[in-house]
Amino acid sequence: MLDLWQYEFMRYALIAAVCTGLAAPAIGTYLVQRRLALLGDGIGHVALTGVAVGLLTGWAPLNTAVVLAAAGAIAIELLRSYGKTSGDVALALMFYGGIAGGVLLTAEAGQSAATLNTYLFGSITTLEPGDLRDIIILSVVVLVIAIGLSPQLFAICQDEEQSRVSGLPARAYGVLIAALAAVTVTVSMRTVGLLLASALMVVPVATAQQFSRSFKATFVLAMGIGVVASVAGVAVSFEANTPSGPTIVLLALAGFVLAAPVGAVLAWRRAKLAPFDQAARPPDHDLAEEHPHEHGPGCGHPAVPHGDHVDYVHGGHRHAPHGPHYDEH
Amino acid sequence: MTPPAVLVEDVSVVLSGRPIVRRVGLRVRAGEFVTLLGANGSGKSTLVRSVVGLLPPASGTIELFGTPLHQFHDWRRLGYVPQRSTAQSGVPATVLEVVTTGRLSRHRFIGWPTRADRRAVNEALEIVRLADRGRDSVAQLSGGQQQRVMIARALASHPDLLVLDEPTAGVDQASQNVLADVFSDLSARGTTILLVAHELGPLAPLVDRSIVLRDGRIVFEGDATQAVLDLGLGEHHLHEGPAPPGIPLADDASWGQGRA
Repeated sequence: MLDLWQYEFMRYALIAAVCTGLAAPAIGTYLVQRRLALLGDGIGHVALTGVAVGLLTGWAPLNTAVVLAAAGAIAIELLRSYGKTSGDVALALMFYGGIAGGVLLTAEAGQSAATLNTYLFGSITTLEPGDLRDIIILSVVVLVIAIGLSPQLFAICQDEEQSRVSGLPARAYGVLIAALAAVTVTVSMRTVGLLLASALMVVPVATAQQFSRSFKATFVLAMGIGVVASVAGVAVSFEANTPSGPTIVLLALAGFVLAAPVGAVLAWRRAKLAPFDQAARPPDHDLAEEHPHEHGPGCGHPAVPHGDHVDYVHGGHRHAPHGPHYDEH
Repeated sequence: MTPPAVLVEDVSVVLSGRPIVRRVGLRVRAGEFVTLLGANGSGKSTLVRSVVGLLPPASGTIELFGTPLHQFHDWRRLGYVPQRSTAQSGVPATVLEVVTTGRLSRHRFIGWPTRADRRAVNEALEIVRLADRGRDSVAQLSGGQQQRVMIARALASHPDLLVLDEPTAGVDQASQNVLADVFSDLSARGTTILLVAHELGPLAPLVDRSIVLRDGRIVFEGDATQAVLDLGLGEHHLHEGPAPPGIPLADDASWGQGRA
């Protein structure tokens, strides 16, 4: 790892990897909680059109991508919250429009598919100091909001209606989450690429859930997994000379594949250990009525072995000797 | 004189062009326990969703504690339990985390839970008899226990008015009995309760007044057991014959106002 630090481009790459590794799962946790895991994917496609606009006009692709991605994400959120379109159809429209627009405009700009590829699948080793500065600033903004407003954002993702009745600005905060997701996707554009940015938002959360019982633990663990996958991915891609984006995502997925069986075992053990609902448990000590004689061999009541003792059948029910009295069994 | 906790006057609610609630009037006095009964599709859920501000009425006025709903901002006085079969979302969450969101009417825009919030959350969990389950994931609880979590969440802000949408639907007998105890405690403390239900079960003796809706109109108001006997609640049948006395028939001309 230390020898990677010698190269300036690798220093930039590792810093960018830490930024995206933290920011993407932070906002991704809220998306998964709202069951909008695929929103990041839709945003990535729209951001592609944004990049193409940048290539065509000569503006910085990162800026045009942020603006267009945020506009698309907010549009989806508003369509969803006012119930005009079902979420999955709105997402599908974003997927197709974004990628078609991106490819068309890039061709218009006279750029090759190779240029587009650096945005689609990341090109972390070609970062300029200006790119790195933007990535750091945007990641810090995402993290400060995702952590600072976590009680409110958790509440609206947990139960939007209930939070509206509590007086929370649920719609505004829903739009904020969508906008932050758009910023995160564009921040991840250079590390994992637009088409894989969503993976870094969702896969660490899915992995963290295998072990966690609380939202807080899921949130923190997902960020940790995101950083480990991103930094390890950058290192591996340098050593093995593989593209950084797919390497990071495959490492994150490998983590999930390893975690899933462990999670299944943990869930199974928890289910086994879970005590019965106290209120639902029948009284475990049910005294039999007064009984005139002691049960024993030859008392006239049929004896039935029952676990570690013998019950005596007594008029349609069973008596089990217990100290000086009988229990109903 | 204290204003009624809930005042609904001549309210109609229209959903995608269909009238669901038709010119309903309703008054719940402070401290009263009122249930809204009716078959599926009778409009009872829609009516309470309007009362808590989730659905704007097409016409009529709604007041909470004497304040018109659009000017009402004292959200911590209102606790709401939406109609849900589960308190789960896409990410695991503990009982404490879910119930703590009920305190956010005090930190609506920003702010983390304080010591007072944690105390209120623990009290709310004690009221619903789940104090020992705070650190468990809600996914581990039974359906009835999850309903109690949602009630604790509504109680965490110490509301004066509790509005519950079918909290007893699909709940096991043990949890129903716990809920009956909880409502009886709350009523004794002076909390106003407006509860939507299919059937009352063990709650029947606690209820002050029952209101029965059918096709978006109030068809009965009074003693709950009487309502069940008179109206054959829960059965789906067309209401034939004249409306009960005292209930105005909706004149269809007034419906045009609510539509585009």
